[in-house]
Amino acid sequence: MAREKLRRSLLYVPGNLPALLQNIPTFQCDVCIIDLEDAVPRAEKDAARLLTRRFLDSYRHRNKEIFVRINGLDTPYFQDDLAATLPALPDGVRLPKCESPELVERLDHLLIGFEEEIGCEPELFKIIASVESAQGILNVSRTAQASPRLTALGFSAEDYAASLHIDRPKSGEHLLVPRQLLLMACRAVGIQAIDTVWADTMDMDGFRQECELIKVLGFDGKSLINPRQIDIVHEVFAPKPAEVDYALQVVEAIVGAREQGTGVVALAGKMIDAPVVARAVRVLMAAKSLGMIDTDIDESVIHGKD
Amino acid sequence: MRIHRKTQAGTMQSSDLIVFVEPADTLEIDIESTVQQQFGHLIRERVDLVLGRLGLESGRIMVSDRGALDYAIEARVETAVRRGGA
Repeated sequence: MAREKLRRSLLYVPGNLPALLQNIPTFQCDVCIIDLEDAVPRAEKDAARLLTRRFLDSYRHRNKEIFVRINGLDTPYFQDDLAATLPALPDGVRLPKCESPELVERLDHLLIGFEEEIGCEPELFKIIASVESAQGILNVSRTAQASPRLTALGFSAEDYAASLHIDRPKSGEHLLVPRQLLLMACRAVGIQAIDTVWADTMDMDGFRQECELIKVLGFDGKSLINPRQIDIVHEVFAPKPAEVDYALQVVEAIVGAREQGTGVVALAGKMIDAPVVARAVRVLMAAKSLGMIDTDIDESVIHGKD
Repeated sequence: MRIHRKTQAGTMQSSDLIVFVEPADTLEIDIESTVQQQFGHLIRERVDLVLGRLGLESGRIMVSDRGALDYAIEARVETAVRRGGA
């Protein structure tokens, strides 16, 4: 069973600005996505690759996941992006403009080649694919199944709205269907769903409302463009005390069952199966990160040793 | 490798540096920094390391530093040399 990482907050950091790159260790988000694509002008793409590579070489003891957003597979830049940054062993690649499963397959093949060249373990690099258009949403169910490296799908509403020739009203009604389709596609194959960025960094109320909506819908996290947005996401996604108590009971029950040599246990008359345990672990990880509990979550005790 | 054309890399922002390169008969390195007294020699060491790794034989390298960390110095110097050299 996949050990799911907590990915509530995914902060984009431009790869061409040292002042921001070197703050990555201090940000409280779950994931940083170093951006070689839209944040970096064409004339600076070579510089951004080298800055990102040398920064990651110096950032060995990482306190968060690092993904690199490469340029699209329809550009002349992606090959150099991968060649420059993968040797520094980021956790994976964020693939923009992912309109079809074939693009994920192509990236998967490229990553196999790089892993052989670098000499690291197979399937080390994960993929988060961004769906950014009407065509991408229509293909989302097949895209979600396209590779075992695919660990999440991200939704990019700005480009999606452009593909529909509409503006982006903050009310968001035009996003309900694509969000639901992306969510269903992710849940059907057991990967995470990450919502789009909120561009208006001055409107924190609007941002909080959108976070509350996507939590209700079932998203696992949100892409961010400003560190000030991190705390709000974590607050909104914080588990309720009753959820934390239940999760602690689930873990106690499963650990007890494992000590007794059985993997099956009931709690208050209800069967505790793998998805329930996985959810309990996610709740406890979120609670721990917010200081709601002190307990260390030892996944090998909960899930059993591999 | 030699510097064949005049070019540069980097910005004047805090925590960054600009590296100017231009052709020259020999290898010349000039460093100017907001933290010259404390770190000038360490910046020079880092620049020498990168130029050695790239095998640069000639060129004028001028560094204007605004408190950049080692990784940024390495990256900007390499970018400038690659842009200007062959």
